Amino acid sequence: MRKSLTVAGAVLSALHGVAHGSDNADRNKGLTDLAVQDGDFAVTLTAPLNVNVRNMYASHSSHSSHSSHASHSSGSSGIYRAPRDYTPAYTPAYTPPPPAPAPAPANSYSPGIQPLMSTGTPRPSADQLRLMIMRVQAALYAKGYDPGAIDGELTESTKLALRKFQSAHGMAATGKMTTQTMNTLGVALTP
Amino acid sequence: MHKLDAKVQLDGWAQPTLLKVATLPEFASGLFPLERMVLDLRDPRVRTAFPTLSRLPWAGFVVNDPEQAPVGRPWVAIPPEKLNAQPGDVIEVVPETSKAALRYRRGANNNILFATERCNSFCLMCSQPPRDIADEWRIRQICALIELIDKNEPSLTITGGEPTLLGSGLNCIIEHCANVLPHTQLHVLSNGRNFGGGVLASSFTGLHPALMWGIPLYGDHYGLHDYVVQSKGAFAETMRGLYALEAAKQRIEIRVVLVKPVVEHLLALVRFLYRNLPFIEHVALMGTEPTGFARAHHDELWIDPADMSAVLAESTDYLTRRDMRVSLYNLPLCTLPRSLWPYARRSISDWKQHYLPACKSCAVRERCGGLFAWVTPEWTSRALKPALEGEEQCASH
Repeated sequence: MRKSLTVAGAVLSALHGVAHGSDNADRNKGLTDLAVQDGDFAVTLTAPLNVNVRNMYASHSSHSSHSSHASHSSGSSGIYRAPRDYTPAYTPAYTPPPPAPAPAPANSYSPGIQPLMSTGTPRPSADQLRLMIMRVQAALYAKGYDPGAIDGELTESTKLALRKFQSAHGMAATGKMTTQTMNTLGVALTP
Repeated sequence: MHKLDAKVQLDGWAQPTLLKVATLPEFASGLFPLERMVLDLRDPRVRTAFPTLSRLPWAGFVVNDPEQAPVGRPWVAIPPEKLNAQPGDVIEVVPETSKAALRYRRGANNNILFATERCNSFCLMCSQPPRDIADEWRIRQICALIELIDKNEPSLTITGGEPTLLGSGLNCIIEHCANVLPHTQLHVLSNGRNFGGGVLASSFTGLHPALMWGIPLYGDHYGLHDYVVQSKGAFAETMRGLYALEAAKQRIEIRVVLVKPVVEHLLALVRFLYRNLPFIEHVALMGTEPTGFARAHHDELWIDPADMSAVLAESTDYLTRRDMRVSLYNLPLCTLPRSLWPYARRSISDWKQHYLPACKSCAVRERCGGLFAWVTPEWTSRALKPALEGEEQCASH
């Protein structure tokens, strides 16, 4: 954030200089370059976790539409079955960096505007959704809210905790896992 | 002083493994794979959610006592009095030796990536005496460690030994940092001797967004520098290396350890820096760490910081007047004249920081770096005394 401010400030003052006579242009260009270089060393205090990431969890207000969950109550066996879609596991050294956030779809919407139809948005698998809800519940619990349990079920207590958290942080109390809510909770949308 | 490793009880581990200690926020963040984290069951809130959380594919569990661990899963018992492993830290469990070691500490002032034990210099005051062993395995280990470090870590230091002896392995580490921790400043401590050819230096151009090289120079003359680093030709190599780094658009800090022969010629050295290396960004003047080779060379090296005051003041003044940034490290405030306090940094790594009984009543203790934990009376300045209440006001003038 500070980096972008530093650079933005320099660009603004450069523009200002241009407006007042172009003989300063070179000098201002130099100043902008310097600011860009300095920006690399500015301490990044807060960067939102989820930038340019499609949020396929935001529309979930209920958990019951996923019939596959019935088969997933793991009972008391105590043995964890690895979710089908859970892949990251160990990343060996020398592998290329994690892929950049998925680019917005071609018909991308302005931020904050919900599409009427979610044709382009993939739906999370049951296991992905369950794990994400557990993360949200853990974050809520760690911040002093009571989600009921950390069990991956979007229960009434969890939605109530989400709404309380949202209104306490100046957001609309929708009880949904919006990107802004996830950022404030410290939950990354990408695995 | 905190210990960085300890004998512990553990079970279920097949090989040495790096692990991120996780409580609820680390789990919630989703930034690290569950398979590379240990769930910290010492945390009461984690225990509340234990039945569901424990079924996730954690690498294992941190417990207070072995009974807490779920049956059949790997665990390590780390009582706080043995090892201060906190949530967010990265530990390494080593099953062969039953040891756990802290490899990254969240919030610590000086986290290091230890590149190699090998070195091509043998400095009189080396605090980390080199060993000529094959330790390329560290490259893989460091890259694995980098992946478990907090994404908002402000800075890391790559040190050794001489990191450039890793060859292209050092490039791999730095590139991996740029990819995985792009917001973390990187400080690489090298003697600069391998950069002379220019090819190596240029391989770092544009590799990392916030990289600074810390290169030592101990004199304005080859005789003095080569004596301090105990290596013939080192001065010429380091000078050529500094120019090669500058040509490769690298940022450079010059590091000077304040041992007796260096202090005696410090003013000549800073004049040399200004005239010949005006592109350097920072000059670090550092008190000696009394461990390793330094302890064997006490008589040759020791000079009481109280006797450095005049030359330190003159040198910092010379550099500051010429717009060259200078800082003082590892020197207790009470051994410095007050005019130098603004240049003093709290530099000693928190885990080896130490204060004397006399420091208890000091009014500026919070701003003072203190002493290295292994300091002995013969390495202690006669000027050590608590600064009195009210006296510290003068420092800002």
